[in-house]
Amino acid sequence: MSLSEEKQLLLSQLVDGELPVEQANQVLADVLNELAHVLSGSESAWQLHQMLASRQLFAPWRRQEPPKTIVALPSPRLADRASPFGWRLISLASAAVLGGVLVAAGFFLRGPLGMEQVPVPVAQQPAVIVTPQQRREIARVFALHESVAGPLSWYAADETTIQVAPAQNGETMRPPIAVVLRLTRDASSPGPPDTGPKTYVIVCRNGDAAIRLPPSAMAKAMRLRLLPVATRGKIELQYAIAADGSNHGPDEAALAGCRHLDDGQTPLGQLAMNDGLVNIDASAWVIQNHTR
Amino acid sequence: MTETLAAEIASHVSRMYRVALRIVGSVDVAQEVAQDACVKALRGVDKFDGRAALVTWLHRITINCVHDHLRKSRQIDRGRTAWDNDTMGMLVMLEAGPAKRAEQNEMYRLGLTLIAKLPEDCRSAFVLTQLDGYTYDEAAAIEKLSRGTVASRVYRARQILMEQMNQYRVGEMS
Repeated sequence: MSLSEEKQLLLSQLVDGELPVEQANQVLADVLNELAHVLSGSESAWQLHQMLASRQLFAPWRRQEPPKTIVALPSPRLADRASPFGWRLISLASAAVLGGVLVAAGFFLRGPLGMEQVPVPVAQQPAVIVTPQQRREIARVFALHESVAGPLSWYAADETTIQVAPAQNGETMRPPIAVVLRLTRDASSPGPPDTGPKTYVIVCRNGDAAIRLPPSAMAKAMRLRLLPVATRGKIELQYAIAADGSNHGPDEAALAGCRHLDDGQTPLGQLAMNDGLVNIDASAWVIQNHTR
Repeated sequence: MTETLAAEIASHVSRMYRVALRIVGSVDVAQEVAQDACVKALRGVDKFDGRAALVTWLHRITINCVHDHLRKSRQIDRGRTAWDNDTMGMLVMLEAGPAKRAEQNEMYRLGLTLIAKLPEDCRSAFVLTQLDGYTYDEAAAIEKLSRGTVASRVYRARQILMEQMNQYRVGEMS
């Protein structure tokens, strides 16, 4: 009777303690099964066999993994370090100049995503859909930035600031995905009634963008981690968003999750910021042929 | 130091997920809870003083997040019974053929049912080591027990389970 080389290799690793415990148990159980007729009178062999079986019974449970990636946000201290998180190349002069394109086009100042920034009771604010024209505008601006700064890993802009992160050497360049984040003070929260929504336009190239947004009237500094993936015409966005604490304490507010997005608004959740609740919505789409 | 801890936390994510899944009984909710626990852990990484084992600290955060979730969703009772419903039916044993798989599934369901009936002290040690995948030392740290006590309780739980499963098999055959 000859033993297969594969089995011998397993036995060799077993005696060296080099097999993972689950695999070692399996090998032991197999050996015991082969010896069952010989060892039927051995109490210890029977006990070992039973114990291995009880251990193996729940092995599939122990192998279970989260169905989706868990998105981790670095702590603020980590975020302040240059890599892998944070504002990379915010000082890129060309980006700042090109940022004027967005502003001049009225994307933010004259009604971000089709909305005027005039005092409108929050409860009455309509749902926002990104129009084809706005999508083209975002694609055009992103292409302009890439034409000057080279391939970008991500791009983030609001009405006053622009951040870009240049792609690293060897980084896979996937089709860019635009994500529009919209922050709106919750109707039930106290605060100035004329605080309009705050909009950020983000374009991610490589599926994992770690971005730090500057403070605004709506929110204190925010940190985002976004993993958008295009699936069957929709964007599956995994996200983790953390906002620095209120003026009265160091605590942070954070939310995380996964949503399927399109060019309509989808709620991501609420964050407590500046002593009030802020609703965060997002829409997303793949930027097609953005270099045209 | 912080970066190292962050990397270590990432390596515990799967176990945090399984702990959440075991209690809430829903893949989607467990994913959310584990995500939440991970964010909270990373956010509070500076507060981790190293006196407790990292694994104990993460386990506590995960359990707190589970309880937060159950409290918020007012599904505490459902969460408890979920063990007997969603979770048990969720496992697919792909390695085995259909007949073997059916048998394994049956034994698996039986195993979970019997675990729920174990004496509390044994059950906790058994669940931590056999379902959540903690080592005896980690389970001892979580339970604030000695390693020997954990080993003894796991052994006792296993003996009870084996005896009851054998009784079940004998009953099936007769």
